[in-house]
Amino acid sequence: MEVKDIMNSPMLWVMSSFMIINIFLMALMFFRLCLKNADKMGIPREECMTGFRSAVFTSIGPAFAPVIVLIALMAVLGGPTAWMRMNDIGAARTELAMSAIATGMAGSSLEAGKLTMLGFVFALWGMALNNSGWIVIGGYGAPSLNKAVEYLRDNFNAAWVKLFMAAAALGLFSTLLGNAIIKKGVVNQKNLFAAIVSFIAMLIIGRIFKGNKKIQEFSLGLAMLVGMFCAAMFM
Amino acid sequence: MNKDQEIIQGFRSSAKTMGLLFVTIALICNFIPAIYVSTITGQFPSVGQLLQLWLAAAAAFGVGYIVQPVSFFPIVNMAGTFMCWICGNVGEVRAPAANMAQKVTNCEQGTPKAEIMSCIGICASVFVTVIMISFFALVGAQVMPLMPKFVMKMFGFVLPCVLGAVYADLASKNFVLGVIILLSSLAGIMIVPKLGIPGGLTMLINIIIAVLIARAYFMATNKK
Repeated sequence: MEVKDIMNSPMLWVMSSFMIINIFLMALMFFRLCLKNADKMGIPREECMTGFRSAVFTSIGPAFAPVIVLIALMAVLGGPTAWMRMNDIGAARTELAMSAIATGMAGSSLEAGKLTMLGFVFALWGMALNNSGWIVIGGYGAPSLNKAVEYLRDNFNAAWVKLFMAAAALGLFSTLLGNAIIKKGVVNQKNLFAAIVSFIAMLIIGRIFKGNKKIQEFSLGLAMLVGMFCAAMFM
Repeated sequence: MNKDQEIIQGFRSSAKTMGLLFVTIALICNFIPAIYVSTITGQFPSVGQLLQLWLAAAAAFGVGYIVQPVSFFPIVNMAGTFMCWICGNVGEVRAPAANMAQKVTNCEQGTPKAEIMSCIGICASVFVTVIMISFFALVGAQVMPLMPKFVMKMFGFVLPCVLGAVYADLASKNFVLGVIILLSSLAGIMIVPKLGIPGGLTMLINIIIAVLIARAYFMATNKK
């Protein structure tokens, strides 16, 4: 049996689908749980749907990031594996790096035509092992993290805890933003331009259309589109 | 308010039960394709090789296993954390979606309503990514080359744009602090790797510095 045949075999599509079914069911169950508890709190259903719509619209743009990598990954590791791995945890470069390490260990390579069966097997195991790191620590650790946050809230000045959380979020997103702009110590001017345009667009939308709920729902998506358009146009 | 606190405790305990169940299933699903391919080809990596693979993974990404779930927790909360670390794309998709769901419903950070809304936002983003990725996995290879070049070029800027917009939104609540922390984090990205500290720790170091800056800011503004 050739590695190419297994990579795109119908059975492998089936085997890879379990994870995606699990993810979808999980989101569905959590969504139901949210709606139920929102009802109990007296949050109107309409408000929940406003939040939902806004999140949907916000996610569509950034979701193209994994989609583009999906196409690249499909060529290397086949449809089912790319489909599963882009749906579950592990950013594009993580999956590519991990499969490169694993195939290298099997004396194979990800280059087209050079991937051996053993290389493919190693890549599958490598990605599974790597992903379980996040699943185990992020998943099983969530309740303890929650306890830590509750402890903070109970034992410290409320205004400070709020500022603490805000600062942690700012620190996190400034790092992510910085990593998108600075590559290996060098500022990527095109990305910097794109980020600045989106940043300003978001501020402007936030100020000018402050009272317009419909526009606020779409503000992040709009600001992103403006930035992407200007960057593609002028850079 | 007290009633809301009681409800959110109930929400958390249901989320915990459900979350642990789905995490366990995900852990099993995660290995199914590898076990399947090994079984039909008869090529199983040995225990030693698996250990070696695991060590390679942990060496490259192990810092992220701990740093990332901790870093994102204040934004996505417990229910969101369960979903985020199975579904991935947290920084670029989940957190912005959670943030926007809270913003349009005028939630105050840290309230029970904010926790519910961020979870709704993350669920919404999971539906979107699963549907979009599945669609393109099935037909994408044929559709992508048909996209105009200009659109493809635009997609090249997805990451800086979404993060730039999210940061503007976060910083607009406290602009001075936002700008100071942005500058300190940019400095951190430039300097930390040069000190011989592993790159995966940059995020954690930047967050700690951001919190320290906020502490100084809090002390200074509260005294006045």
